[in-house]
Amino acid sequence: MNKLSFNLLLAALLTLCFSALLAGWFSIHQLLIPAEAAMRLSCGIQIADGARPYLDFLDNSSPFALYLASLPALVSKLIFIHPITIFNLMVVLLTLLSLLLIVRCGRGLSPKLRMLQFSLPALVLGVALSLIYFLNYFGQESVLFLLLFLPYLTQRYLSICGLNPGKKRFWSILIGFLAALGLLLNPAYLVALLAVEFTCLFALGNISLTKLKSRYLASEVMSCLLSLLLLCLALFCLAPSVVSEYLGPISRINQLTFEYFNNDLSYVGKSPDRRDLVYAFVVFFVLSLPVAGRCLLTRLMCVMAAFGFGCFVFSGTLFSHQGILMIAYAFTALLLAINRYIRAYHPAKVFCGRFAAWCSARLSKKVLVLLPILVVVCFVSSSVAALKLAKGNAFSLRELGYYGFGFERDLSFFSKTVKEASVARDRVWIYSEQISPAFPLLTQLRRTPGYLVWGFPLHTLKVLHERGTPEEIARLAQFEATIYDRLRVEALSPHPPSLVIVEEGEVHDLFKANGIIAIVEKFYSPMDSCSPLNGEEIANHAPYEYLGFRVSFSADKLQK
Amino acid sequence: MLVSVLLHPLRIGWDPALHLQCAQLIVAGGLPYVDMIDVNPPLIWYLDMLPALLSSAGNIPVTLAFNLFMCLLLLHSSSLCAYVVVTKLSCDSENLLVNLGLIFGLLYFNFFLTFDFGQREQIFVLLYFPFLFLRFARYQGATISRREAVVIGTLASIGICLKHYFLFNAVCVEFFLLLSASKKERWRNILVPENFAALGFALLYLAHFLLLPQTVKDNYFGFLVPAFAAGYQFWDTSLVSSLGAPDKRGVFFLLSIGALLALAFSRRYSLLGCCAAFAFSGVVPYLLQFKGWAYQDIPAFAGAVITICGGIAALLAVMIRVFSRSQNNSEKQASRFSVSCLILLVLIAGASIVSLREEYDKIKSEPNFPLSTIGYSGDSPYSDIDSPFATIILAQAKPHDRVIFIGNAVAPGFPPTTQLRVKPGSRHLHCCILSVLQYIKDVRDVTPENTRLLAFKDRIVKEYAEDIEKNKPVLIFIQNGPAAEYLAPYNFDKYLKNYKKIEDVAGYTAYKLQVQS
Repeated sequence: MNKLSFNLLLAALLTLCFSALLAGWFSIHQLLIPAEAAMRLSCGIQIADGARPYLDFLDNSSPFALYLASLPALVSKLIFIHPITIFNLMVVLLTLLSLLLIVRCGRGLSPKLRMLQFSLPALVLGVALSLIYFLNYFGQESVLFLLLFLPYLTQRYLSICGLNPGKKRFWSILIGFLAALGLLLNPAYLVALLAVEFTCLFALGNISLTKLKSRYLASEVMSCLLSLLLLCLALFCLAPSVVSEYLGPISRINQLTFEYFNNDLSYVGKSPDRRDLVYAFVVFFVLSLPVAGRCLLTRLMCVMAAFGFGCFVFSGTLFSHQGILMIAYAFTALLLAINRYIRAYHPAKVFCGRFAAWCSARLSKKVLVLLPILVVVCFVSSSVAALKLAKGNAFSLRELGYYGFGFERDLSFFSKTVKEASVARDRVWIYSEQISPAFPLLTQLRRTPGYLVWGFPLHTLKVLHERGTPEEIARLAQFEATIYDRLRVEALSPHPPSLVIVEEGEVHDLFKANGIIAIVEKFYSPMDSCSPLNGEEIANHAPYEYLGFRVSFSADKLQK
Repeated sequence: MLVSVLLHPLRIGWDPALHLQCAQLIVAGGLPYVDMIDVNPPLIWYLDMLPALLSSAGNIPVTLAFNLFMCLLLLHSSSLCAYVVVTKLSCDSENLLVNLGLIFGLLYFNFFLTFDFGQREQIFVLLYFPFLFLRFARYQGATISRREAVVIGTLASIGICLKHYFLFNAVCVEFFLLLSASKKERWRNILVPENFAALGFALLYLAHFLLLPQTVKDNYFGFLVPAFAAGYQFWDTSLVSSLGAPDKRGVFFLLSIGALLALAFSRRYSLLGCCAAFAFSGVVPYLLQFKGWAYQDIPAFAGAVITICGGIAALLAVMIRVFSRSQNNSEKQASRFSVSCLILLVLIAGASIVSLREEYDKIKSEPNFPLSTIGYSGDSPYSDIDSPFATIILAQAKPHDRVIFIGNAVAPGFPPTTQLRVKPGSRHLHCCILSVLQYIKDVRDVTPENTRLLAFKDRIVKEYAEDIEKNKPVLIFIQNGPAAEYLAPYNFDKYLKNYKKIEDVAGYTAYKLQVQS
């Protein structure tokens, strides 16, 4: 085994161990999931049950994100494991696949591949450490995009540098397909493809038609573009009404939410303060820039980090998870840059070479037998650590209809109230202007949300009435009327929500003005109000990031 | 820019107006932090003494003198950059085009600043960029004379010393250059005249504090600096407001676009990467200050504009190269670059003329303010001074009369005080310090140091009373909100017995002096 394959082995080993650690962790924390992923999973469960997005339930995610979320729900239906567990393990598998695809890019004996082979452990380590830092956000849309798009970047590097073997196209096609899936998770991600290809265009040195042909007609680009086209076409043909709703009022609401700014958020403490992430990004980015000029792979990582920074600002809410892309890519770029700096330092290069040679001399194919053992050790040790670190009582998921167990501490705020007033698969309304605290709780306890999955359009529609032009208001009047009509119908249906939790303040006022509170007062009996500031709630659950003023929630239980 | 400045002789933002006022007071013999109380480090006041002197020598509005000074700075900065580009960097057509794009960006960003024109951040960018070009040239192996290095290094140091946060930008750029350089060149290029000059000026500036009178040092280092260190968070905002608010996020999107262009062309034009490093490093000081005030992101904005302009020039260079590939004649290729530059210059000049024409027409259609009212000749658009406070000052006071604004922000006392040639009636040019003390009282722990700082509040109110008694300001404006609350326990009305309340305006109560001594 030479020192180059030692780097490959090291990267593969890191990948396997990291995936095993993740699998071990999530096999114990079976209900751990971030709010946004839980919300999409809840939509996925409804899709698996035959519902249509934006028609039978209302959310503002892209249709592809919602349809993809139905995959774990379908698997869960078959094997009776909680959808969250399935989802997490699927993301772990995706992590494994993504990193192995990257490692695979370095296979080959060409001396030209040496640069990539030396970089692979740094690349894998960068992704792994970023994911560990953001472990509480594992499964977020940005994590999925990171994992789906990363192999594409590596493959593009190979194509642009002319290192593609050109024969085995299956892997390139798979990489292109995965990238397309990632890009479709959020329309904003399509900008990343343009940014990457723009950078690649000028990475060619002198541009010529022959070079353009050979490098832009690469399998991964074709596969990515074709997949984008086919997936969009398939969705348009199979669910035209879904597409029209998404491109109509949902996109308009998303656009207005971006335009309107909630002035309450200007006050200190009324929104997450993750300046540390921005500082880290700037330092990582600036330190990587010198290498970016010389190394295309680092350059692509830097481009993606800058894109991530743009996404962070574009989000308008600046939650921690919205900084994942900028941090993960900037950190990976930094590790790649450090790799180059070390190699540029002669004694370090010599030492690394000797170390690799020393390792290689002691490695043989027999060592590969140890790999599964190491993976099992990682899995077990991570599980044991997860068990030891787990707080709160464990409970069986049998009452939810699944095999497995969960921890009270992993449940979100207000779990006690929801458990008390409803059973699994009951409809429960938890409405505020944010995804939390409705999610991940509803998905964790397998409750079904209302027609309006969460209160995303409520504030925007209210501001629209204050600031919008009559034409703008008229364009969304039907949409707004439908929301409240559907909620009223749902509340008066034979299967109304067992529990209604509504945030005091703006949401409560809007519901009151639209006759929903009157229905609740008539058919529901009040429970103790829930508050995110309640000491017991804070002590028993992990904190969550919140926008605006923290206020109480009214809780009303359906009268028998 | 020069025409625009001449068309608006009174246009100025609140902070530059405050600094200019301090400079005028120093020119008149005042002592910083004794005869004028503000927390900013004094270098900007020393720098503003130049326009203040020009104003008195030429009898022109000090605001006009300041804006002319800024134009001179623009000219100086771009000329020095052009000098470095032409004499020290590669002069092949492509590089020249990209470098000229960067210099264009250095000029272009100034046009977007409007009321933030003249902020220290802008001055820093203008003074620092020739240094950035020079440092880049140094790492490229250019021969740089000691005189050039000392001049550019000293000017950059003046820029950096205006605000300590700017050191971060300079360090980031230096790291970029250091890491980009080959191992041999790396350390040799650190110990060079421009760095010594920059360091030398910074040390001199620090040393000058030792020479200041003891009262100045006591007030500044014994009170103002520790008080602001403990209570400047009074004006803090949120990250969402700093980065994501609709009026601010544009800068950060520009940064992303700039990064894309810099990265796309960084292989060929590494100066673009250097500018991108400068631009991104501007985000950290902006967030460290955490006020969300737009002027604090000027280095990031300027860096983004410069990088984008350079990136567009690089794109143009690549396109020219691609389209002239068939002609191997390098002379023809060079002439294409020259023609492109010429076309661009004509386009820019044309756009500037059209824009100036529009501005001229707009000004002519607006009401004018005759500068003879304040003892100068000429006219100014009234919109440049338009505020309810200016109306009262013009109606109730004459030039050189004294006026006090007791409010917890620089505005609205400034710019009207500076624009309308009235004098501050108190050494306290604003009462931001009272908000700072209130923050310490409300939020900070009770420690001996904080108790000591809080004891200064009595002194400040006493000094206000002394100044009113001594200077007899014609007008006193007291903020109805926080400032009135801070003064309430002191029964401040007793110091206003010679004053009559004349108006409630924009959250302030205006008092007019009744008995003239």
